[in-house]
Amino acid sequence: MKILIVDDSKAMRAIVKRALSASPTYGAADMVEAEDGEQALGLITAEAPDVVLSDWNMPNMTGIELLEALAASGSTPPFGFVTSESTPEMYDRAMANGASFLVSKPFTPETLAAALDGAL
Amino acid sequence: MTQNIDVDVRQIVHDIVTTVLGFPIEDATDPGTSDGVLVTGCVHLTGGFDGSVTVECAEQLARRATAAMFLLDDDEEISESDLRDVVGELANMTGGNVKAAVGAERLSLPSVTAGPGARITVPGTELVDRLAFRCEGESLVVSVLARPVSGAAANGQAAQAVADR
Repeated sequence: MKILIVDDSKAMRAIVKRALSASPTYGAADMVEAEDGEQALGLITAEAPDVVLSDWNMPNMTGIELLEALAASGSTPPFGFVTSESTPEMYDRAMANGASFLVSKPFTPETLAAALDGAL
Repeated sequence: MTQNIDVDVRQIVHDIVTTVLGFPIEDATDPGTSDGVLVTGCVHLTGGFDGSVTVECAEQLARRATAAMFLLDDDEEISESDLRDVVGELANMTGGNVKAAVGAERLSLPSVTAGPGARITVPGTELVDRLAFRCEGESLVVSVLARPVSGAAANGQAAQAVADR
């Protein structure tokens, strides 16, 4: 399994990786990282991840812009948001564009794993 | 008139520090006026609520937080870039949770400054709340700032509230 983690914060990418590593289901996954939506778009083409975990607010291309670009291309891998600023409007917009979940920061490893379980 | 907020910022900070850093955290009563080195992160909220959230970490706390986030040993060097990233992310998480609670529409990317007594001031805002904590024996102070609502805007809001009744 390959998981793409998209966040402009290196620290947050480390936290997501560590949370996934604690999971018996996802601990052995190959984890790829991107710093923003633009970089992620290229990696999705090159690496074909099984799931994308993305922050919402990032420079260059935000997470929602990434998801909208994928939706427009007609090829969206399983996709979820890991974000500090979840609101009902953001949730609705994410789901309307094909996201499977939105996990709020801070999160526990169990919460993140459960979200992935529901998406995959 | 200053925008009022009904947000439990203390609980937000407690949740972030305990969940993300794994550090115990205690409420403190006095933010103090430390001239020591601070690492301060700031995010801005706009749309529905216009204001800012700042997170001031004593440098040693910022270093310990960085070591915890990156699983560094005590003798491993901590880069300035990683230090700022961590404090920026703490500000991002705090501000993001405040954003969701106050109904703001947009959250900025964080900005971070560091140095002796390095605090961030945001012109045009007023202090709504300033909360002090002790974490790993060091100071952590979180502030919420809000742009005052103009008299015309306040009157418009009051008129709409009457019309809605």
